[in-house]
Amino acid sequence: MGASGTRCLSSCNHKTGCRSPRPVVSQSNVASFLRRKTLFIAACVMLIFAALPGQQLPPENSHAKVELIAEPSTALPGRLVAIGLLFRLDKGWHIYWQNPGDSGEPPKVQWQFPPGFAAGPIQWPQPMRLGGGTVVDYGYESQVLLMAPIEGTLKGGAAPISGFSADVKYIVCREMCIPAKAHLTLPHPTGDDWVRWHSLFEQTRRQLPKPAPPSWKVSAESDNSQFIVSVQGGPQVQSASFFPLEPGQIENSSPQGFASDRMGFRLILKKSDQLTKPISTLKGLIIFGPGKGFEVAAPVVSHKRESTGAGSRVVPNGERKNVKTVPDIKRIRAYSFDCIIGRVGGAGGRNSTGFHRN
Amino acid sequence: MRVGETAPAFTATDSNGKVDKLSDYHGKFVVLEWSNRGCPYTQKHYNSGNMQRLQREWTSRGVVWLTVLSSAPGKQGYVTASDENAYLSQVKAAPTAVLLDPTGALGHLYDAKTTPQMFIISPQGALIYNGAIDDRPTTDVADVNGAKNYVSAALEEATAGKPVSQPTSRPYGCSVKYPD
Repeated sequence: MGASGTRCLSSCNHKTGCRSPRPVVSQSNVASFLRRKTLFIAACVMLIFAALPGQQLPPENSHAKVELIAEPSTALPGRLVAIGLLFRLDKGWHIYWQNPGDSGEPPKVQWQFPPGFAAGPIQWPQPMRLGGGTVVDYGYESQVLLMAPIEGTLKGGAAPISGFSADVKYIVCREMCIPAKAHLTLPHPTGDDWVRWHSLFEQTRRQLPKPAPPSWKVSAESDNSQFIVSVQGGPQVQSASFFPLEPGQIENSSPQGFASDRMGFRLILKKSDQLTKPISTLKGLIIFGPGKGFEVAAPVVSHKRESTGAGSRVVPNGERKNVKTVPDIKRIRAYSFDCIIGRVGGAGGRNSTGFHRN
Repeated sequence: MRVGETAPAFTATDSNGKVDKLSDYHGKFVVLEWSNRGCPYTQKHYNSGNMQRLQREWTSRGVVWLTVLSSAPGKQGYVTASDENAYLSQVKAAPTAVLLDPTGALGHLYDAKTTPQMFIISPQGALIYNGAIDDRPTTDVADVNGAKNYVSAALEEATAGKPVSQPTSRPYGCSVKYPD
């Protein structure tokens, strides 16, 4: 607290530390000056509140620290446009994507916002594949920001800074799983917080999966044992992975077949044993690499075809030109979130050996 | 394992040293419950008494209930036979038997992925349910009340001679701690 106060006064006196993280208005006119000045004063005033109780972090032994942070508006200084849960995980521990895969569960949050504001849906960054045996999950290691836009009905659009809190429940796993919950309040940000928060939101946003371009023609064929997802009109790629949005549709631990030709590529996915009814749409992400994830919704056409087992129709293992399996979890791991907003733990990134079951 | 398929035959040693075969139970409904006492999802159902209640109810109605422990030595949930028997007594569990599967052979045979994952085998030996214990994939004890228990629902239907209306679900929980 004392340190924050000292830093504030010092920064403000030097007129360097309490600015917006990016120039609010580039022209040097009166409006810009006033806007900057307002922000500068607001940021300094906020620091007075730094002495108030801030984050309530879960117990130290939870192997995850979670922090409530918010994104400042660039148009309306001192107001907010998005909110997020920043998870920092001990090395080797993970939390889960919206489809957790075979085990685990995604974090759940209940936001508490000032009157007139609500959260939009969580924007889930690209997950990584976790586990290497017969149990495969989807989630995040190291650090992840789960962000949600703040939607307001009040005039002016952006939200004030105070009065935001969240109750979050999550499970953090490595060889074992530890459930945790926390009540988080948005701290009154320092000038440094503004910069850090802004940067985290910007970095995360750049790495979110994007809607598939309209030029892609995506479809899926279904037979007794597998889905064949076809993407035509997309980029020429050497490999791709499918991450299903819904649990219980594909066998997460099965290697995914990949085949390409001049028209595009196909992914061969073994059906889950839990899937007993036809589905009309197979939704998920097609991921080529870090920051190259696309949301697809493939309409499914069923073929009643005799099957002799997985992979019987499209041979997934080298017996056919341009067809190869994609069992390479290390490569899939390279899509890991450390490429998105950096690893907190430093070592133990892509060269780390163990894949963690929960 | 897909529902409708014949449940694969197995032989396993239980915590009393007895050798159990699936064929021993031909003509009865058999429940397989994958368990790991260190897993918070399993603990939800034992700390609330839910699992013990189900075991008592269904074994009293003639169903065979086999708890299966597939944790490898050194991993969470691995126990010796005597440890397990002491635990069963402590938590007042009432399965027909607890099968010790430290090699994971039985787990892999059924492709069990989580604890608690549940399977139900018909008296004729067909798999009629493969999935979660209920519809609340959480670790909160408070979620046991009010959950739809898929195992009881399936057994109620099957023991009444009806088809199981929900024969699968995502088997939530912790991953089974197989050997590396």
